[in-house]
Order: sequence, then structure tokens, then C-alpha cells
Amino acid sequence: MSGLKDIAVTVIGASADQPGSDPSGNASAILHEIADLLERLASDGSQGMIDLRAMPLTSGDRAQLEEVLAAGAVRVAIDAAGPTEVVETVYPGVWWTRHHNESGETVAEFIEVTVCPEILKSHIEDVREGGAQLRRVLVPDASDANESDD
Amino acid sequence: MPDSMKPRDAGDAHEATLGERLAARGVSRRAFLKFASALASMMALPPSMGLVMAQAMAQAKRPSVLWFPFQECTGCTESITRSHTPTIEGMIFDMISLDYHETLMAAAGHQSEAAREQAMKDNAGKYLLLVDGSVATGLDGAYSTIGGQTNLSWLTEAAKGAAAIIAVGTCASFGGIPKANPNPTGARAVSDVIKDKPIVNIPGCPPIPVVLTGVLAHFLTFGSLPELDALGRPKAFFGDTIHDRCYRRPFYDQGLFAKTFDDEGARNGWCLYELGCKGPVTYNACATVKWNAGTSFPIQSGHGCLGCSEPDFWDKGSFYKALPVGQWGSAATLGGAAAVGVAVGAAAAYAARRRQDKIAKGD
Amino acid sequence: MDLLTFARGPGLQWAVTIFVIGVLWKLVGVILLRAKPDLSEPRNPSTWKGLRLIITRSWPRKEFLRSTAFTEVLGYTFHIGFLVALLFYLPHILFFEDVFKGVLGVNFQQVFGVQWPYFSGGVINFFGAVTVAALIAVLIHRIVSPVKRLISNFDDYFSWFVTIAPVVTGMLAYGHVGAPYQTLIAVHLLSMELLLVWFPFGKLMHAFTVFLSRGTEGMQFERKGASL
Ligand code: HEM
Ligand code: HEM
Ligand code: SF4
Repeated sequence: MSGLKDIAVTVIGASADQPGSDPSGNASAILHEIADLLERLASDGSQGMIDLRAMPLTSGDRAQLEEVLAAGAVRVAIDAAGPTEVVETVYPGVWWTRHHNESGETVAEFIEVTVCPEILKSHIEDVREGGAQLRRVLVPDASDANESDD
Repeated sequence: MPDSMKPRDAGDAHEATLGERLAARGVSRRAFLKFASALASMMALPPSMGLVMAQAMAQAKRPSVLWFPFQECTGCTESITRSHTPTIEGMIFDMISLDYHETLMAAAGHQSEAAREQAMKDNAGKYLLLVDGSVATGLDGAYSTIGGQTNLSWLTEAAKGAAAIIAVGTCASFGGIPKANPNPTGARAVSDVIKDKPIVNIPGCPPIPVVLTGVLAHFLTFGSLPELDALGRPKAFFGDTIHDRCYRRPFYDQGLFAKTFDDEGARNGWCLYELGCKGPVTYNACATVKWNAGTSFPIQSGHGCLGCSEPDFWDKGSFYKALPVGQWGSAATLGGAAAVGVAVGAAAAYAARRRQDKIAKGD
Repeated sequence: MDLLTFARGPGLQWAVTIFVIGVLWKLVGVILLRAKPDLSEPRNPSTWKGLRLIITRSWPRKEFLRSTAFTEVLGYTFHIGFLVALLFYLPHILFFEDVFKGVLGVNFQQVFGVQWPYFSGGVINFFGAVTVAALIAVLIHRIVSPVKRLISNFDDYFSWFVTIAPVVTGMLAYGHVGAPYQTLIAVHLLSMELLLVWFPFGKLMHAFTVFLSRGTEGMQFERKGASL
């Protein structure tokens, strides 16, 4: 059986969302915005967020961002409807969040300027439900309680 | 099968908030926040809206939704049901209380019609009406009926109590393939029939599922419909052409085109304009959202865009003709025009000579 | 019917038809006119050599070099720019090849053995920009120069307008500037159709008649023994 490999397909320059490799200036714009947001976070605690998919980034821009915003002390792997990776950069308070779906595609990517990204916090409703669940586990004869069907 | 179609457990389904429902289905609030953030990003909302949307939607009661199938192929339903949790588009069925959908509901016959009427009565003024398929209007709608009633009468009846109507797919949005020349059934778009209700068009053959999620999320969060373009399509998803966002665009700009489907250019992944790509005149989100969990979209798979989210796409000539091709007329017309031109020119010259002669003769 | 459907369909077909009728009407009408008899004694036995004026009029005589340099250079600039944008841009070529095949029944490539060469979009836009600049300059010249202004009428200004319009709208469409692409492309096509419709009935007809008039004039001059 012939597979795709047998067909001489050479896709050139099609690295999808990266139109070019030269820095376009968007990366420096983002970095300056982050600096502003950091000052605001430090002064009055207001949080900020930048959607990295909201503007076109060349591979050069990405390289620049990744170089400046290198990984710092915290790196969290979340498994919620596909992997999510949250990394605090070398600048405390600047977090880089990458959301992937089950097939590994990036579905969203943000820079968050905050003391703790929202997604890391346990939601109080989940806490409540989890607590109730634990109670049910601890009381074996309460078997008539609704189990959540995962 | 979408969960909402399961028999309801004693009266709580309508009361439960979306957040509770999702939690009961094992979707953590964390996953929900992630979905909402991704959705906000996709809809080009400010990134902070992700959290707002997650909070608002978690508290929201699921709206009652009636889904009417008219002259359609069920491809739209297929497209949307093929998306399943845990994906963003799969949330559609958690976000709504689907009270009527012929293809998906367990009930049939009179039972299902009773369910429809009940839902319309219970939620009058509040329910969302989803329509896929065009509305046959020929012979007073007799070309397409359900339970002895015309689609036309269903639509006009149900529209009265609807908060808004969402036309799912190109047929409901613009008339679609049933409206193709010569349109034997008098097929019309929903918006041709209903004039006094807000209507969102989500065209596409089939439409991109996540657009429906986005519209519903907007409705649940803000209580309103998202911003629409001139053709009633949500701008967040239909704001750019395929060509605007196509990864082959640099090749178009450089003048590198595939000339056949198996030449060097095709193998190099060059632009498909000459092979009939309609991307430049098609507004849709395929190039960014893509299909099958972000795997690919037609152009990425080597085929030009058909322009399926635009009105009358099937009547605009061959899918394989480049945009400027086949529009100028025919050799016969040009030949006729040339003959007319020569004749008029000769007549003009003759008239001029006659006048010269007259003047020469001194008349 | 939306604007683009009209521009691509009936609008285009009518424009092409009117263009063909008009051009042939005007050309045949002029060619079949009776020339005024010249009763003077010819100074030269054969007047055919006068046809070289068709070529030699393409540049100014030495005496006029300085006074006409501005108009000449700009004139060449926008004519060449216009033709390059029209003839060497792929979407246009697809259109012309299609007409070629429709009329002659064979592919351009089969007849000439080569592909119609074309430039990338960037190059075409460069030529477009140069064309627009030169056209604006000649318009200013037409308005500023008292003599030119005096001899100009509606035809001159309108012909200028229909010439610059497709170039401007083409560039806007290429850049997706200012309106949805479908609208831009419709406007581009409509501007091109306006050009086609106006062409035979105004001074743009010079594209054909300029050769006729130079030839006739050359032969008359030759007969009179004037220096060409
Ligand atoms: C810099 C100058 C120009 C640019 C960038 C430009 C751009 C374009 C583009 C992008 C198209 C493609 C339409 C499509 O894909 O559907 C097009 C089509 C066309 N343009 Fe231009 N154009 C320019 C100048 C002109 C001029 C000067 C004329 C003629 C007077 C002209 C006549 C046409 C014609 C006949 C078509 C094909 C019709 C069709 O698509 O159905 N263009 N042009
Ligand atoms: C082979 C074809 C053509 C020839 C030989 C030709 C020749 C000329 C000449 C000799 C002039 C006068 C130059 C001057 O005032 O300096 C002129 C002017 C002009 N031509 Fe053409 N032309 C041709 C085609 C065209 C075409 C296709 C168009 C537009 C569609 C065009 C548009 C114009 C315009 C607008 C002017 C007036 C410029 C002004 O305002 O000074 N020409 N052309
Ligand atoms: S493949 Fe189609 S959409 Fe992509 S650049 Fe070419 S013409 Fe545009």
C-alpha cells in the first residue's frame, strides 16, 4: 500500500501561522505592554492579560518573546480537557499560559500579569463538591448518593 | 448522544445552572475556564472576558432550544454532533436545553410534536429557535412538510415566541443548495421569511461548530447576540476572508501558483488560486479554527476553497475555474458585437459621405 | 443580485460588448471616411515612407525636447505602468487567457509555446503606484498650465478619471483596504467596466486612432515634401 510518504510532497514555508521569520516589532510592543502591566500590578494590584493569538507573530517575534520571557521558578502542568501549561517567567508576576486540546493543538495562549493565574486556583464550587464526594467515600454505606459519572 | 437528550431526571434539568451540569458531567470548572478563555480568544474578545464568560455561563440557566430541520441534508447536525466533549464546540449540547430536534430526540410522531408545542408554550418569548435547511415557499410551502404541516407555517408560528433565531448552515442562512437554479421548491432563507426577529446566520456547508458555541456563549454571558456583518454573520468568525488568513497567502503574493493538482507547485504547497480557490471572496473562519479538532481545512488538504459560506455559491460557476475565468461572455456574443460595430461604423461613414456629396452639389 | 455578482456577470458582459461595438464602429467609421482630395502637385512620387511618422512621433523632435520633456516622461511612465499592471498580473492574465481561448478555441500557451509571464503582487503594486503618481502629475500639469487648461474639456478629465480608477481600486483590492474584499473587487471590476464603456466614445480611443492619424499625417507630409 502506498502511503503519504511515497508521494513526493515537500511543503515549503508552510509553518502555518508564522508568515515570516523576521521580527515584526510586535514582540517588543508586547514586552513594553507587559512592563506597563507589571508596574500597575505592583502599585495597585490590578491584573492584566495579553492574548498572544490576537496579533500576528512571526517566528522571529516568538523567538524574541521566548528569549526575554524565559522560564522562571514555577512550571505547572494542568490536565483539564487536554494539557495546559502555566509557566512563571523570570519576571515574577508574568505568567505564560498555553492551552492545548486533547490532540495537542494550541487552542489559546496568554501572557498573564498577576500574582496567581485564575486557572491555578481551585474553584470554590469544585471544592464544595469534592468535599462532599470525599465524605461519601469515607462513609461506605451511603451508596445511594449520586456518583458523578466521569 | 448529547446528554441533554437523555430523559430528564425529575425536573432538575431546567433548574440546574450550566456550571452544575458540567460539573456533574465531570467537566471541572478549571476545564470550563479554559474553554471560555479559548472561546474569548477565538471571538477576539479582550482576554479578561474569558473569566467573565466562565463566571456568567456557570451561573446561567440553559435556554430552551427548538431545532427545526427544513430542506436539509442533516450535514449541519452531523457536523455539530461530531464535535464532542471535552472540546469547546462539544459544549454546545451542555449549554442548551434541546427540547426539540427530530434527528436526535428519542420521541417520535405525535409525542415529539407535543414536546415541541409544550416547549413553545412553556418558554414563550424566551426560547432560541435553531433552523437548519431552507424554507420551501413554493405552493404555500407544500414542498416540505412535517406531520402534515409546512415548514413555512412552523417557522412563522415558532418565530413568534422566539427570543432569537439562529440559522445554522448555508441553506437556512441563504437558501443553500435547495435554492440553486432553478429553485423548484421556492426555497428561501429564514431571513427572507422572518423579518421581525433577530436572526444570526451561521453559514457553511457544513458550518463550523464552534461558531454556534460562540454565539450561544455570547447570548448566555451578555444576554444579547454578537455583532453581525451585513449578511447577518457573527463578525468575530466571519470578519476575515479565507484568503486573509490563508497560510498559502505568501505564495499568492509572490506569484507562485499550482497549475494542476499534481504539478510541482501543488507539491510545494503553492497557492490554489488558478485551480479555482474562492478564498479571496469567502468570509469564514476555516483558515484559523480549522476542522476536525484543528487538524486541517480544505486548502491545507490541497483543495481550493469552494466558498460554501457565501450566498449562492453553487450558482457561481465551476469550483475549479479561477475567479476571473468564465465571466466575460462568449465568442458568439463578441462576434455579434463586432459585426454590429462594423455595420454601425460603415453606416456612419456612408452617412458622412452622403452629406459631403450633398454639400458638394450645393443642396 | 449583489454588486460583485453584477460586476462579474451582466456588468462585465455588457461592458465588453459595448467596447467591441464601439471600437469597431469608431475605427471603421473613421477609416471609411473620404479623404479630402489634395489637388496640389505631389513633391514625392511615393508617400509610403511617410508612415515612419507612426514610429518617429513616439519621441519629440530635438527642437521640442526641452519644452515637452516633462509631459513625455510622465506620459511614458503612466502608459507603461498601466500596461504592466494590466498585462503582467496573474489574475488579469487568467482573464485574458480565458478570453483568448474563448475566441480562438486554443490555449494561449499552445499557440505561443510559452506561459504568459507575470510579476508578483508586490511588483504589480509598485507599477500601480508609479502609474498613479504620474497620472496625478499630468493632471496637475493640465490644470496648472494655462494653455492645456484652455484646450481641455470634460472628455479629458473624465478619460483621466476612468484611467486612474482601475489602478487605484485594483491596489485597494489587493491590499484589502477600506471595505470588504468583495466590495473592493466589485468596485475594481466596475471601474474597469466604466473604462471599457467610455473608451470608444472619448479621447481614450487615441490608443487606436493615434496610429491612424500619425500615418495619415505622415503620408500627407511626405507628399508635401515636409521634413519628418
Ligand atoms: C496595480 C493595479 C491593479 C491591481 C493591484 C489589480 C488587482 C486585481 C485583482 C486582485 C483582481 C482579481 C480579482 C479576483 O480575484 O476576483 C483583478 C481583476 C481584474 N482587473 Fe485588476 N488590478 C489592477 C489594475 C487593473 C487595471 C488597470 C485594469 C484594466 C483597466 C484591470 C482590470 C482587471 C480585470 C479585467 C480583472 C479580471 C476580472 C475578474 O476577476 O473577473 N486591473 N485586478
Ligand atoms: C498603444 C496604445 C497607446 C498609445 C500609443 C498612446 C499614446 C498617447 C499619447 C501620444 C498621448 C499624449 C501624451 C501626452 O499628452 O504627453 C496619450 C495621452 C493619454 N493616454 Fe494614451 N496611448 C495609448 C493607450 C492608452 C490607454 C490604453 C489608456 C487608458 C486606458 C491611455 C490613457 C491616456 C491618457 C489618460 C492620456 C492623457 C494624459 C494627460 O492628461 O496628459 N492611453 N496617449
Ligand atoms: S490558496 Fe486560496 S485562500 Fe489561500 S492564498 Fe491562494 S487564493 Fe488565497
